[in-house]
Amino acid sequence: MARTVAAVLLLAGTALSACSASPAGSSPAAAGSSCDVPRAATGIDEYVAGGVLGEGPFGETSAPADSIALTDAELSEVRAMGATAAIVMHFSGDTWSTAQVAALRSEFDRMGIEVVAQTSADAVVATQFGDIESALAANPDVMVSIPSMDVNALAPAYRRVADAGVEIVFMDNPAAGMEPGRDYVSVVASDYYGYGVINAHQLARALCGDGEVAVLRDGARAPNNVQALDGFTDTLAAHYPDLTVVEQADILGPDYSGEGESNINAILSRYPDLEGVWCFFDVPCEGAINAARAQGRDSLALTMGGLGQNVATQMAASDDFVVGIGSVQPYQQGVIEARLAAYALIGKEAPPFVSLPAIPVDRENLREAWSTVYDEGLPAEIEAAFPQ
Amino acid sequence: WRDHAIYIGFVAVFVLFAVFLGDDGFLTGSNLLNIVRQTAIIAVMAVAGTFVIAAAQIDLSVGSVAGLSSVVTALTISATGSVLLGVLSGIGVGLAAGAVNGGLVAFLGIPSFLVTLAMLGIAAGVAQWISDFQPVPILDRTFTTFFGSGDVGPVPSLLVWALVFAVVGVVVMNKTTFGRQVLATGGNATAARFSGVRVRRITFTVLVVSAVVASIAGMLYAGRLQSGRFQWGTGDELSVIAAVVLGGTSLFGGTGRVVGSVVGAVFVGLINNGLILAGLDVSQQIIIQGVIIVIAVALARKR
Repeated sequence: MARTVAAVLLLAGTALSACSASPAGSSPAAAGSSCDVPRAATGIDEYVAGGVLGEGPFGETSAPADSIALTDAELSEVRAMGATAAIVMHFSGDTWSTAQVAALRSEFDRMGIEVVAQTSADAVVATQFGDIESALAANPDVMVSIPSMDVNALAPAYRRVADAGVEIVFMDNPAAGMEPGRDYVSVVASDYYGYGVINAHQLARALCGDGEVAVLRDGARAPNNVQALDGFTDTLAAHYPDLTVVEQADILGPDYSGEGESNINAILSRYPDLEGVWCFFDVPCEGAINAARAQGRDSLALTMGGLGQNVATQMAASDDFVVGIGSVQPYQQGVIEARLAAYALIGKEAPPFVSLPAIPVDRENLREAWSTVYDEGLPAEIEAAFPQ
Repeated sequence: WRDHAIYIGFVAVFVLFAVFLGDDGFLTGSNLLNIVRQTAIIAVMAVAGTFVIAAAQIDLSVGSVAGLSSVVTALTISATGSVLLGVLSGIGVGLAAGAVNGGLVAFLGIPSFLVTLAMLGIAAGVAQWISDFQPVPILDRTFTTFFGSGDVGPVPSLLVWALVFAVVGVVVMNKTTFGRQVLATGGNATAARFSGVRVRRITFTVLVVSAVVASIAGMLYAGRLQSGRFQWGTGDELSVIAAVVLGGTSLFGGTGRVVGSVVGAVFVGLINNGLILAGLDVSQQIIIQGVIIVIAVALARKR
């Protein structure tokens, strides 16, 4: 009896594994195969030469990032003030936020500004609303914050901060209804439209200019992320008509990776020949990798904005998944945000919008790009991922 | 003294923060009122949660019902221009969800954990569907002022809401037959039934009340954040249960400390606030928060 059961189980197991092995189309046009898409290389070079494409929230052109600096005299003036600052983040623990905060703290320290409150809302809007109020109670002279999770719902809280006379510098987007000069000092961003453009070229290069792709976009429709999506789709429309976007899915958070995974899972079931995915930042694409693997795919070309540690490790290891990244520059953003806060303290006129160009990153230039973006050497874990 | 552990804990932590963070803005009126603003909505839900847990039930759907109610209210106000219709439709959401929860638990005997867990998903899904995942702005100043953005003199309206609910909750729990019957049902349903308590009706009512209060909480979120969004209230069911348990109500039913639950809700907010003002890193904040809560719960445990 036991032997019969064992034999049946063994047969069943073999049959099941035969069914689930290599479904048709598991590795279409292997990502990373060399094919010639000269438009892609030209497109990326044109971007790098041309500079920031994206406009500010009120249509402003970006002031040059390297023009934001303090003279020695101004630096002493700021130091003498003994000013205080608050940093109010939407979430923490990801490479982007960590870099921003590190840069802010380092620059504030250099300028003698004390950080009296630092908060992270764990990707919950209501928590960030409360965090803004709490940070205000610590009496900061300046506040640097990111309203992107919900620029409308958080606006009343930021308004209270502005009304209290605190100088606000926004990361990426302003809160709704607030104007530069009157309500806030400046918005410091990276070129979101630009990295969308870069990603389109990178994906086209990996897919030899044609195939089916999916898009994971920002469900909250923060203006900067909408710009990135536009950059991506505009470039596809203009240069790569054979790359079809078969589906666009909204990612809402806080579980960005899980949502990326479940959405790509569903999309792969409907479009088994899917070859590529664009994600508005790196964490949903981490989920996309999981989904692809769970479905037995050993490759799926991914491009995204966001040089996160996990996706960078993936990119170092192979060309199967992460084929290119258009990195924003969170560290440099943080430095400029801190300096513009200092401008406001000493009454120096600040430009309303400063944007840093996106940086095209692939396996070849990963090490240099990492140190430009994060002001530090490539972490050992990523270095170890390169094939030896 | 263990029965009053939450009050002792609250005072102890408050004094600690007052001494060390007095200069950092902890004791200012605006900061203390911030704590109230941030915890009032959980406190309101915790009042109803006390009844649910005292009746030996649990309601995991309160967060999602709040989110759904905020969306329905916002959509109704924007479609009809009427605050009254908006409020009625929001409460209607609570009634509907509560009736389903209560019916399945009380009359079909399905455990409340499962029913309300399912309702959590259903309410969240409906909210996402009808709002298409987007925030629904509320521009009506009457609504937003009354439901959470406004002040009554120097005092935030959220404080008034929390106080009203707390007082009503205390009176109902301790001074009415209904309150006694809830405690009897939770303490020993069989004995309660044999003494003439209509256990099924009590269970049904308690879950309906919980959902209606959650829908009001949803409107408070909508007022404070000036928009309806399916995400408002996500995860609040856990905060409510934590507040109720910290407040001294037993998860096994039979006891109900409304004031304790409200204090429990504010206690968590108090800790959050103090740690932010202390200038701690986020990771340190989370660790210390956990440690304080473990201590508070350990002290409150009966032998």
